Amino acid sequence: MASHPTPPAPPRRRARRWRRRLTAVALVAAVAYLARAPLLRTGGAVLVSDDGLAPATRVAVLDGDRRFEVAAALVTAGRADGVLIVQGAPARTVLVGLRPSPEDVGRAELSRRGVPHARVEVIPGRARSVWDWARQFGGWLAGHPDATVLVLADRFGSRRDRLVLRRVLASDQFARVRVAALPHREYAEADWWRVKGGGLAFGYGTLDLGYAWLAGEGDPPAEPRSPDELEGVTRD
Amino acid sequence: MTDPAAPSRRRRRRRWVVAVIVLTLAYLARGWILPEWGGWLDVSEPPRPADYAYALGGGAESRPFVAAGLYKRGLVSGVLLPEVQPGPDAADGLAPGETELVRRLLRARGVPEDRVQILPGAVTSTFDEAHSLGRFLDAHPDATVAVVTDDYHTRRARRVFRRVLGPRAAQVHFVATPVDGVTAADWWKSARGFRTYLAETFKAGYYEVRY
Repeated sequence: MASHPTPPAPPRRRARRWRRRLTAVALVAAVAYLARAPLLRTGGAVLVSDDGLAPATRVAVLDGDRRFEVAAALVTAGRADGVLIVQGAPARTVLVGLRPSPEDVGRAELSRRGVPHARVEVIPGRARSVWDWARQFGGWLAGHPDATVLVLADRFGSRRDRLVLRRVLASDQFARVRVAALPHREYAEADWWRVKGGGLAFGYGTLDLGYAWLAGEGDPPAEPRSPDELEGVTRD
Repeated sequence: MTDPAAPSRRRRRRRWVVAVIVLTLAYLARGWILPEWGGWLDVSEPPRPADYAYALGGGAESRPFVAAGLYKRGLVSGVLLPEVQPGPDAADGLAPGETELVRRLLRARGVPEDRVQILPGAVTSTFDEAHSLGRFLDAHPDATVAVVTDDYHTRRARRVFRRVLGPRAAQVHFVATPVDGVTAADWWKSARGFRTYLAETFKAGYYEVRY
């Protein structure tokens, strides 16, 4: 049977339909505005995956506000035997000798807070992403089958970090790892939208988690240009 | 008997079909759309002679190197720096303050100390940096400036500087610093590029509304 073309709705019915749609949009917007605090709090909470300061034989410093302070406090309180620092690829300002490497800064910070040098272990490598970090860390875990590790992470990066650790580490290694989502001094899940730093951390955390979830690691980070290459980059 | 709901069902079905076709086309054309999107953010110009290079904050690992390159090639006779407000790590002594680090970096890369000026007034945004330059131009009304920033940041920076400087924005042009391993042609393929370009798109939208 041939289908007949749909007759256009009379103008009054079309107007009613649009009025209904606009009213629904306005209602949703009003409810979202009135419930903005719980909605934004929930958004923040999605990014956080926190085991708290669970007991472990080692503390691994990945990221997070006051990370060395927390690591030192755990060791000096006898809640961990030592600290792990995963070595990263040196930044250009480190290469040209303008500042110490993050590993040296970490050692100095821990020492200043009462952690003996012997209790700090640097896992060598050139990590340029959290995926590299997890692989270097996995190598260490493979050589220390009895160790349990508490990873100190940035609060709004913690769910992404846990996802990466789960994907990179063998299951028996991942079972020995806990993640502490360190609180930030300027914002938390409950109020991140009130300060610029919180908004940026939420935005970046959401994009990082989304990418890791959907695309995994993606293309590995490229080898950075040397200082001389970068100086001459505008030449052409 | 005809079903009175049939026309509206047909209309809904047609809309779904159109939506699916649009999404499919967008997916198939992603190799063209995404680089265009990335390229849209970059409005930089080839460097040309100016009195000063102004290396914006937030990129100590790249922007000052390009500014030093401009100085060493004789394209600028001095470098301006904003006074960047220290973040938590700098406040805790875990990292040097950015302005001081960049000042030392410029000296190490061959820019004499007396050729570097720090513009007074702590900055936390591109908007603040534009105001700092505006105050400098009040005292140096004929100065020309090459603003050095990341390639993807040039569109937003240009908009803000135009807004703040008004007609004096004609004295300013924008020189791009490349981002290691990320270009407009492949930004969605790496986690860093994805974060950088999407966040910049949101920020550009926010600045469009806010400023």
